[in-house]
Amino acid sequence: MNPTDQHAAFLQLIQDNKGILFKISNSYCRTRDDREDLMQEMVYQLWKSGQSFDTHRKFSTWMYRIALNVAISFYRRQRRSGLRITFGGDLHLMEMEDRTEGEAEMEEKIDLLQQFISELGELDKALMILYLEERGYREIAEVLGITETNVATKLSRIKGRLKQKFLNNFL
Amino acid sequence: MSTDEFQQIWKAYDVKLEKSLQLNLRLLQEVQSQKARSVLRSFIASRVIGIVIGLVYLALLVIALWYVRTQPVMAVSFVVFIICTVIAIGMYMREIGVIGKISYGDNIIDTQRKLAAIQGGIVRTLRISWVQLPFWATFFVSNGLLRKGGRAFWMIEIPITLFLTLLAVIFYKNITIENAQKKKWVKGMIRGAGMKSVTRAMDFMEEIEDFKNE
Repeated sequence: MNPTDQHAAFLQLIQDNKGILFKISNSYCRTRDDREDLMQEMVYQLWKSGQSFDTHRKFSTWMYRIALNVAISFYRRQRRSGLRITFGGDLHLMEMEDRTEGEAEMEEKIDLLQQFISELGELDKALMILYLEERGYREIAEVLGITETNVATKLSRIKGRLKQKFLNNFL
Repeated sequence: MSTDEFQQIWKAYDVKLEKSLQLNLRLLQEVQSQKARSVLRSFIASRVIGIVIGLVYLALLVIALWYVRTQPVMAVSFVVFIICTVIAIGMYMREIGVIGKISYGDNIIDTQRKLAAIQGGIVRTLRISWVQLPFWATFFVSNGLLRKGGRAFWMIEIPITLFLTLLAVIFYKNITIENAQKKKWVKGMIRGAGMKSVTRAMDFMEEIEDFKNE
């Protein structure tokens, strides 16, 4: 593949996966500036690591590993100064003026789910995001580097807490 | 509420995001052209700065050693400073090598463990620096001072050197990565030295082990 094709392929890759990158940014960062910095960092690392991607391996596993590793590393360090690249779009959900009652309730649930995720520890957060992204136990185990049994145990515990939180808020 | 409903809520979140987000392609291209700075790159930069400062300090120490080469106590003190500085520079160089081998494409537990270990590596450098402590009480002891210092000099010099030696032994033995988690005073010292990132890395290391073993 020539450099121009590579370039185009990468842009397409980011476009196709921007949703998960934004969701990870939202889960790991509180402020808009931090979220933008993290997006920049994840995109940079995906680009940099692209050449070393083994095509025999599953793409999603590789992408989740890079994005979550960057997010966890980023989360633990203080904000740095320097060049900041601004991505279009606010990461907050847009206010919908004419939303129905059902849509309003769904937004409330999304907010609660986001709040719950933001309160989790760094590694539990990664686990929960992978579960919500409907990744299988085997893939989650591969991304995190723990056993499938461990994944199942931890998920059941976290989901139990989440269920309780929803029951308290919606009953 | 069924737990799969959480995945449905997450999907609804996806749909909303799709509507409200647009990536700025021109700016993505800037990222590709590597104008962006990465976390690891800034970490490497801090280590390179450390090495450069270390090399300048080392050069000054070597010059000083040349001037005091005929004065045994001073010369031995400067040799110890030089050895400690060389070891510290070597440790920083090793860290750069280790960082170069870290891949974000590896699993999260392994990658984060390596990163936390590197951040904790500064504890090892700090530990080495304590070895030189007693020699700060001897580096100015010239041949003239040895001959003419008199009783008053020795009554001050010996207790101070012994005290600093004792401190150096205590600190060298106790300031370790393991103790940064176990002993409060070690953690306090590291934090007091402005290395909060190290204690955070150590706390995270503990969290990683708990996460893996639970």
